[in-house]
Amino acid sequence: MIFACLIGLPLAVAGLAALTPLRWQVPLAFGLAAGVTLGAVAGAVEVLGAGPRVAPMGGFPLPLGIALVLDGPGLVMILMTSAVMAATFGFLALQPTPFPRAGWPLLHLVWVGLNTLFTTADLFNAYVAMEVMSLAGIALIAISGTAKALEAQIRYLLIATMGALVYLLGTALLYGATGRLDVWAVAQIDPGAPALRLAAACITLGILVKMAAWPFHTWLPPAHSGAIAPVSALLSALVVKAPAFLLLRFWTDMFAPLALPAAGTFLGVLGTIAIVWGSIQAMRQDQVKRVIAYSTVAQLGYLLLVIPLVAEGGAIANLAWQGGVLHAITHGLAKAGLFLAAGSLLVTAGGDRVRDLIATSRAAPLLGFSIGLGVISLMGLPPSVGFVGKWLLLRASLESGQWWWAVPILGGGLLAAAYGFRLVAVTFRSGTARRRSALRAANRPPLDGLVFALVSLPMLLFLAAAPLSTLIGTVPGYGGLQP
Amino acid sequence: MTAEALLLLALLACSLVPAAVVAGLDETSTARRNRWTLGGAVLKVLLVTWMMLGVQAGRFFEATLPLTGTLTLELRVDALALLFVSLSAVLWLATSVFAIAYLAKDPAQRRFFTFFNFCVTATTGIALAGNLFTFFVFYELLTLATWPLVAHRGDRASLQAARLYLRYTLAGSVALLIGMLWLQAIAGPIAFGETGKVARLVETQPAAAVVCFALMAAGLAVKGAMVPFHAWLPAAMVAPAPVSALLHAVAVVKAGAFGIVRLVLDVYGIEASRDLGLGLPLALWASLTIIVGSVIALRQDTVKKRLAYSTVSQVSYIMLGVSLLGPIGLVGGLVHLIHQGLMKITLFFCAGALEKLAGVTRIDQMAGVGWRVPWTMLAFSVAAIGMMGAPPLAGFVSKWYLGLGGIEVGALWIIAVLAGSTLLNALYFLPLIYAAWFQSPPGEGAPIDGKREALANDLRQAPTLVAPAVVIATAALAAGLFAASDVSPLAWSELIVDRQYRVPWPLPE
Amino acid sequence: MSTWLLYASSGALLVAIGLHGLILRRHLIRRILGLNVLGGGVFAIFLALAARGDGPADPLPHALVITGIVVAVAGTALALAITVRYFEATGRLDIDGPDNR
Repeated sequence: MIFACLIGLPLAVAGLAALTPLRWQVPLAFGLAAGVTLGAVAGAVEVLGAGPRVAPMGGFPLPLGIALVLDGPGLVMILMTSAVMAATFGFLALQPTPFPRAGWPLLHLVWVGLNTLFTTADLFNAYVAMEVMSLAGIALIAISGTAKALEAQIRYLLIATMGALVYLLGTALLYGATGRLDVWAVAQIDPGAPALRLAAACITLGILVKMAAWPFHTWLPPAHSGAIAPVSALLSALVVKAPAFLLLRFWTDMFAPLALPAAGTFLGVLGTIAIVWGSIQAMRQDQVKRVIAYSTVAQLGYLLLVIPLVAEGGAIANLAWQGGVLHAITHGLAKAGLFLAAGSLLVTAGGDRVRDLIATSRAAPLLGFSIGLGVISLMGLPPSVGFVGKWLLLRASLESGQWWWAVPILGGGLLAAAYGFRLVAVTFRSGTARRRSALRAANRPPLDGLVFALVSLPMLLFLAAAPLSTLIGTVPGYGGLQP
Repeated sequence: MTAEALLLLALLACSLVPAAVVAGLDETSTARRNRWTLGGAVLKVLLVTWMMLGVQAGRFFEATLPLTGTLTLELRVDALALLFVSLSAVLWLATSVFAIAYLAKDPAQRRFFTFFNFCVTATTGIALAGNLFTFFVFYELLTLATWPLVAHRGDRASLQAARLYLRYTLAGSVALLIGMLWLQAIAGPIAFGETGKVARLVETQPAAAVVCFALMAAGLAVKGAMVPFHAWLPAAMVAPAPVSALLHAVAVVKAGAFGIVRLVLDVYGIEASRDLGLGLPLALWASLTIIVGSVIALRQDTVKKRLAYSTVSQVSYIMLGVSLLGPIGLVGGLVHLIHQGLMKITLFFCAGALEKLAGVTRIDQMAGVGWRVPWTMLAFSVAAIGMMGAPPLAGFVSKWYLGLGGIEVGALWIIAVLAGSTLLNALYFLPLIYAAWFQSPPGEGAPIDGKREALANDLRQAPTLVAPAVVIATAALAAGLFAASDVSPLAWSELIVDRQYRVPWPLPE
Repeated sequence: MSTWLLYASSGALLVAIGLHGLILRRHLIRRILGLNVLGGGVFAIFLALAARGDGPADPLPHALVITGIVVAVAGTALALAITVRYFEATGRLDIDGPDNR
């Protein structure tokens, strides 16, 4: 029943939305958001009460059936997704330029893919979900209609599909070695088997491409900044996050036995480079959306840093795992909020260059304040729950003796301050009186209200960190469940 | 949730709720905005008073919120926290009155008062923090809440100052954070007062304990504006005068100083600090800051800049007092936390009033200004002479105890530092006072801006701008005159040292 | 040499050709074709691994590959549709122009 809400409902609504006229789309979307959220809350209550469980899809037993898991980390991600989706729907309903009818079913399909990725324990199912999510997401980029967006879109499509096929190759190799597709298959064979290592390498490589890890990140900034703001929000907050979350789960669960120090270090180094490179690029952009897009490259790097720390095992692995997931949800909420803020800026100031932010903290205070809150979350400062995540990651790094990972974790925060406060500082510039009154006239407070609601969620979650970390639980990533 | 926990939360809510309400109000609803800000400030003073009576009667105030298995947000009240929180409550009320008057024509008051109230919330949180994690949370909130106040004017100079401020404070936070995490990685989570954990490190890992202390002290010294981490403070003088007052007397530099006090007393503990040999380096560093800050202050030609460098120098008295690691010095350091706050905020109120009422910002404009704004200059003179440490004013009490504290631990060179500093204080304050009262304005008979006649009685002319300075100056005077009474800051500091820390005496030799 | 190994190695060869076309070619249609060749190679490897045993071939990979083909067709269709719009908008069929990086 819960999975029907989480996966079946978005799929059904996607079909329904394709058949119904434009005026039904908004109520349909909000109905969907309510349904999925209710399902996720019911799931969370169940998991907190009765613990996580494996649910073979359609009742077919493994290894033939497809295994879905209902567990804390997945539900936390789904709840975050619901918040982002609901805000995006609201933004689309309130923004002055109409959103085409064809876009709505695509949004719902993205959601189908996301929720599947957050619950699946089946490698091939994950492949299909990733493709559904990516293809629908890529199709949404076309809505902005510029030649630049089209170019970014086709680049994204080619690279994403290539990544998916490499991932599929890994899945095939794994199937060849174990005869199964679920994440528990690996435990049956010798972790030293070369086929297993090759499979893990292909799966990891494919996901690295999908999540835009350095050096596979070049497609991301043009694609995420080329789409209209609400679509960028989905792409940047969720569509790259879901594969990254999957990678984290794989490496904390089925690949953990073969977590060679070298592999973990390699991924950690990639993450470090992503943090530095993405941040430096973010500082140099003069379009707000590109600043935010490059920031995504940097922030996803943190999730790779988790992998070498989780390899330590024991209490340290739990710290790193909780820190990583908390970082993932903080980034999702803040990033979506910042992209929606860029959308509201376009409405208010008629452009989304950095200089268009001038005087917004006075003429559109809610917008300026929301940008500030979003930046605080990206930096991982209190009172954002991202700070708890960062604190846990730092503790894992210092207590494990792998203190060198503390350097990118802390340095990344400072770099985020550099590119983030660059934006905030511009909002504080006074501007001319004429500009201020023009901004006031064009500003739409309801849009800013949505942005504010989204970026203030990490602040509220800070106070709710206790139940949140209970839900996230401990390693292994699939909670040690058995089918 | 207990009544005690609710009271603690209410103390935070006194400024957090006004912040949120003010943010939601229109720019034009001045009266409502002022009512909320002042209402919160008055309520807070009342709550703090009530709490003081409660603590004296032996009640224990604590509120905890677990965040993860190993991480807890913890607020609690001890005598030291009350010292800081009562300072911030009283001075916040005064600053609110002053700020409302000073910013009456400012076009972005809504934003200003939102962050102003946030800032006080963060300061209260710092005072009430019960462990290192909570302290850091509020310490960072303070950075975030004060940044918009520094950037408030929105011109190039303000934004540059804000950028500098952010760079310094974030770099400091990183050092503090590494130190905290490292210390807790080797000693386990530390709540304030659990000095036994670090004491065990003295045997096992003394080097790591010293490095952690150095990191944390350096991080705290940035906000405490110790040389060479002080450059942000004079730069931040571009902000409106109430901000300067708040930054210098209550919030930012005090947070740094208070943090160092907590670090020495409640994390490392007096004995472990002694065993690790932390006192002398800290004392030398504080002394260096005291002298260098004063020397630079001498060379400034604007009133606010001179006051800023004076702050650099004066705040380090607190660090000096703590670094002596003896009871008398400790009393001197703690009491200076209050005394410096009272006197310095008066000076900044006066600087703001001078600027608004007489158009004076540079020191060479001060000739004869005493007769044009007599109440302001009277308050200024009292505070400045107090700062110099002339008896019977508040500053004298601080210096007396610091000097005795130095003798007590056998560090006689402290006397030389204090004497040198007093001399320098006199050199940079007395010329101002002399010029204001005993020199004639340039071009006698030509009043500046025609204000000479109109402002013969500045207290009546602009009561809300001048009265806060006069009231706080009186309080500073009283703190010195009645230092021996039971309700003076001195008495409370002695109570803290006596009751909470029980500093061992005589010193083990 | 067993049959499945022949299939598997030709699959590997197709993967290499496909990657070559996808990465080194500029022309969009060639790139899309490269993607399809890459997909064909992966599917071939998958099927070859299924037929590795002595008995009848494992049926599950066939079902999976059919699903994979459906996904690939959808991706190709989307790619072609975008290519057409890109051609209409710019008159070009390569994405080698002024880069966005």
